[in-house]
Amino acid sequence: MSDSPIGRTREFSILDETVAFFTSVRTAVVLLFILAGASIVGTVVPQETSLDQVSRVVSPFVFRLIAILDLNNVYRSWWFLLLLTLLTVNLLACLLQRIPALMSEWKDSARKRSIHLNFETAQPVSHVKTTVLEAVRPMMGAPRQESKAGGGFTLEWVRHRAHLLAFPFIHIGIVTIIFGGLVGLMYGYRGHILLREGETRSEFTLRPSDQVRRLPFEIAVERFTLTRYPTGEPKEFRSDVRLIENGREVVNGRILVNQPLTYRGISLYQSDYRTIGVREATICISGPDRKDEEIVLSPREKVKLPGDGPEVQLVALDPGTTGRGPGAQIKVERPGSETETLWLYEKDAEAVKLGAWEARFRGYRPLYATGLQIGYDPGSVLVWIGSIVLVIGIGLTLFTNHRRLTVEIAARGGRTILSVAGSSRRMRREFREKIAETVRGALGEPPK
Amino acid sequence: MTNVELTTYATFGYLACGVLALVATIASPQGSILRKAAFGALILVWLLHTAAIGLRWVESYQMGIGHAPLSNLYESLIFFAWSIGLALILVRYRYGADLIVVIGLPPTFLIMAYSFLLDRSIKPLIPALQSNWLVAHVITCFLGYAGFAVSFGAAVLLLILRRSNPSAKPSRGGDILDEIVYKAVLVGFPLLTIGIVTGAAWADYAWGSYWSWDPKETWSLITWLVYAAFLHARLARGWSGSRSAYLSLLGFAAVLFTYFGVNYLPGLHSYL
Repeated sequence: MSDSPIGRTREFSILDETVAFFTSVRTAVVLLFILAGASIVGTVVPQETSLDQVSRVVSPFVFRLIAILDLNNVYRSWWFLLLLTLLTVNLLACLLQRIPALMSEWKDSARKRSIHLNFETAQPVSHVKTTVLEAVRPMMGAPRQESKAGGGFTLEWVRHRAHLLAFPFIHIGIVTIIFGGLVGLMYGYRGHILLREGETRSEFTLRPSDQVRRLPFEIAVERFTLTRYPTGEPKEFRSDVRLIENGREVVNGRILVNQPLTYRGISLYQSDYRTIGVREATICISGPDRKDEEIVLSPREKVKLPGDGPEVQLVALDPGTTGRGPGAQIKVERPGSETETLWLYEKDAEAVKLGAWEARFRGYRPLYATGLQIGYDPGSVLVWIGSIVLVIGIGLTLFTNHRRLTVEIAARGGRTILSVAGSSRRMRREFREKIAETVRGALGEPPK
Repeated sequence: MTNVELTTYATFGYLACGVLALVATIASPQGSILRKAAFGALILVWLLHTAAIGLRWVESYQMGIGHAPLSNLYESLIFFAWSIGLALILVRYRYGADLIVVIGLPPTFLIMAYSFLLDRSIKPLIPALQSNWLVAHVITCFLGYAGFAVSFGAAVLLLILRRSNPSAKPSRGGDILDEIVYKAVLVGFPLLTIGIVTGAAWADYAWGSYWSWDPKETWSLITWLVYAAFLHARLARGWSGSRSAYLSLLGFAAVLFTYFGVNYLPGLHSYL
């Protein structure tokens, strides 16, 4: 100490101040407010827009501000991560600082009691002990410890020590959530894939960077189904898919909104769909025998009508731009006659003649492409563990209350003296009143 | 009797209760029969409100599109008002604070009345909301909001009383208000936490990402941060009275923005 007192004191005080800064609740409150303010910025400035887009709509000064501070990507910016890091260090420091006190309270080594009450009675010690035990039982259960000393007794109760775990649980939970978020940011990815019905592919685009990546398996979309309520609102979006790994089918399943499909930690979610063409059109034909028959036409596929009928092929489809309802354009080929191209519409009053045949448009089924969102996040497990720990911690604060009660019963000068000491983490006033009332009741005194 | 009719009766019931509570609080002393009657009337109206929500639930099943009545702005407003009603009843029961009821009922009535302007028919559930998480998420969030609303009401009262009588030492009434400001947040905060966690779980399940920084998510986090700061300032730094009341006002502003304001920002929560 005497060698260089100034240098040492100084060094010590910087360390001290750093520790004081990080263990301070004031720091925590300030950080919470700064994080709240930063989060507001992210809801006002459009996020995940490119700097090009930004530069077109703002002044050069604002643009520079946005570019330097990553305001178009607040939640992944260096300074937001720095704030989160500071908060994490702050939380951990506060936690470490308070653990010794919590452990001492757990073990009751300091024997801290905030409530002290004294009673006196003429009843004998052993009788008082029995009535007190009886009276306290509904409130505190059986005593944890019962000791005998010098003709008297000391009774000790403790309830809900788990309440002391609430503080560490809540703060460890939050740190775990932040950590899980960081892991997801570093090792996870999100993307999107648009697949036509019947298509098989493994390349998808990463979001938000739009780079192309390859999944470790291929997705084959069998069919996309859109179901509607009678009112016309969508009821269900569903993609039936197969997953193929190394040329072998490994999963055959479906993906719905709120029902993702997960394989090898990679989840596929129904996100959107597009109508990109026609899968098939149905027309009704009646031949020379006046018998109706429905035939299904797919693009690029010729269908021969029964008997010596013509060959029909679907050329184009109109989903309903003419006011005549949806319609199909078909090509009709007859041996020995010219090829014809005709439009059939749903609302046509008369059937279209194809020689001896008549044709009507019945309906069509669009060809869909389904948009699937792809998510891989190894950090989410940590986030869920953290959330559970956090919720348990909050449950402990709300639904438990650490209480201790010590009653010393001693004989002094022919009378029995009761020294009652108690502590309670929550609702101290109520606990104090309850103890007073209970002990008074045990001694047969009227309540105050 | 349809749920819409019952809701209408409950709405005007809240108005009547508000007038009754105001008259009772001005004209008769604490613990008087009139005040008890006003409280009793509030409980009855709230039970009617509960029945209306239950009936709407039943009606949706009768229509073959059964779902909890928590699926759009109209239903959420009705549930928000219900939650505030519940919170007012609990505070009145626990603290005997009639003033909170007097200040809390007019907004409750206005929320209900405002909902009349919206489409009150029962709609089928859109695919994005077809999940069991919906009920847990919405109920916890709105009960939390109700806690914050009560804290806000108590904070407003506390600040008015302090301002109108700045020299006097905090009266017992002021102490109770201060306690309500704090205790209501103490109840609201865990509920909001669970609301955010269930929302994140649902988002992970439905969208593949537990957190997307969508404006509603972000604003719920901002609300959470403000109330976390409130609790730390209170518990560790001893803030109470006006200072903690101002924080409660700030927190509730964040709640309102989370609920209504974010609709003016683009995002995923377009249905609520």
